[in-house]
Amino acid sequence: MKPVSAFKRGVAKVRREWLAERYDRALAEVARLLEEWPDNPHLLVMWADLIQLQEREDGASLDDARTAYQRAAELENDSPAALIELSHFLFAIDDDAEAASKAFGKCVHLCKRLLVEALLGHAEALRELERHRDANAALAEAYWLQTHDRRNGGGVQTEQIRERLRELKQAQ
Amino acid sequence: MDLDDRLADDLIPGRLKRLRSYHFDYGKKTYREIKKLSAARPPDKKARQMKKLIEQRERLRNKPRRPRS
Repeated sequence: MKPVSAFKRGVAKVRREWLAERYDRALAEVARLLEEWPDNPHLLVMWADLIQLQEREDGASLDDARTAYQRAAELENDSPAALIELSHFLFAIDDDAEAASKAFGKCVHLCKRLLVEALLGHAEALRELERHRDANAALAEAYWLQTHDRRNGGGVQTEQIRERLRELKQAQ
Repeated sequence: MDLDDRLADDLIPGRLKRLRSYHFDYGKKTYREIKKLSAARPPDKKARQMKKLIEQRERLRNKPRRPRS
């Protein structure tokens, strides 16, 4: 397995070039990293981001950038980072508000689902630490998110959160 | 110089100037003028498209400055 440190060093170099507005050099470094770590979603997203910042008209196209975002979103599956970038691309570059709205909606749903999972885990840890008020706040936030996401439609997880809230009330 | 006072052509990267949503005749307008035109009723379609390109560039340009966890 290739060392993570080499990957981190490479990404740090990209970041430095990016911040210095040397987008051509940043893109070249990402392309080099992609040869070593092909199909890395993080690199694919950076590559697609940087294509849009290029001044020169040769090289990879905006169609290539869209394909890279789509590939990263497919590879990441449950992670919304690539999908958020793809949504921005559809909105600003493709000027397609309809497609962007659908994609952003999916991102919002994914983010809410991940946030609910994090809040539930956080609540459990806080409960074990006997920080009942904080645990209650985390569960209440998870419950609110769960019941206000139209795509969830209530279901098993909502009932589980209610049960945990009841248990916590009894424990207090 | 404040972003609002900069010309669209200085804010849109060369690569994005190949897009159909880039309008050469709006390139010499400032970002402030473009924002004003795109907020008009009815909105100016060319200004709205140019505004999106400028804001996408700004968003991407600043991406490494955003806090990472």
